[in-house]
Amino acid sequence: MSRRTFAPQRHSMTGVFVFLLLATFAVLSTVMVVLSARLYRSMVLESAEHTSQRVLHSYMWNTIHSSDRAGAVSVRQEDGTNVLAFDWSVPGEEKGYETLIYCSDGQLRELLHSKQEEFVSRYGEAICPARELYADIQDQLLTLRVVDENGREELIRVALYASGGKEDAA
Amino acid sequence: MKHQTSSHSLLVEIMIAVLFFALCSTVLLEGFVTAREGSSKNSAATDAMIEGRNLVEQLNLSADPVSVLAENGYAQTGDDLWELKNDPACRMEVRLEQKALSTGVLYEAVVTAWRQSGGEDECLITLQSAHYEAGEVA
Repeated sequence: MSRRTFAPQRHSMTGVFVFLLLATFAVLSTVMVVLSARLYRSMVLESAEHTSQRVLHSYMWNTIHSSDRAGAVSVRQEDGTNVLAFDWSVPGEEKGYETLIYCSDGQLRELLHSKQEEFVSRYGEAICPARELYADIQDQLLTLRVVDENGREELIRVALYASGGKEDAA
Repeated sequence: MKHQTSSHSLLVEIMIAVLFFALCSTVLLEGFVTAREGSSKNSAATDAMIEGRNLVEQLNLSADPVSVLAENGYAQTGDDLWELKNDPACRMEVRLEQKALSTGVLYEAVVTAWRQSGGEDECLITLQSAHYEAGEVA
């Protein structure tokens, strides 16, 4: 009688141990997958954020330095939009083209247009996501504040060696 | 007896699986930790590059680099050394040099960003700036 009662007890202990081992395995696997997924997601988001940050800064620095000519860089407003303008026309001539950089529809845009044409913000080519652009030129230093898609403000300072810059009533 | 043997073999099989899982987890976690560290270094380098570049643009124009550094929150820590410690993960350092030439003054600055990594300082970026202020020629 005693043997019959002892045997099932030992089996149940082994069964419980095996079950506990399996349960631990399952829980740890789930925790591992969840943690890895969360870590991976945060890294991807961070990486994307830094990529757009680098795109914005590189684009601004390169565009402004390459367009820096005497009297070429100016800041003004077009249809209530803050615009950074690079004049490509021959000095003294009214006709000509200019490159405009501004924010519209949640994007930082670049538009090459004739000075005689009307400014249409949606024609601009989208560069990167951005909500607002504020520009200011003081003592040859162009200070740009760009509010990105997450509402964070990016500060960009660019020295205007040649143009000195001009600020229209904005 | 037969039942006990099969139960033991199941146990051994599960333990091997758990061991294999533990090994895989270790490798995976190590990979994620390395990636996380790389991402954090990359993030610090990007921030330092933007901070440094903005400062260099200002220094390139200014004949008074000391006031530019003070405006940007830098504190003098040595003869020609200025430091900014806004971020605990990254330290910005500017070494200023002023050279008096026969025709004017040349201001040179080297901007370096340092990051603490494993108890040691690791250089993230180095940028240089120079501004020449012409003087009166005798």
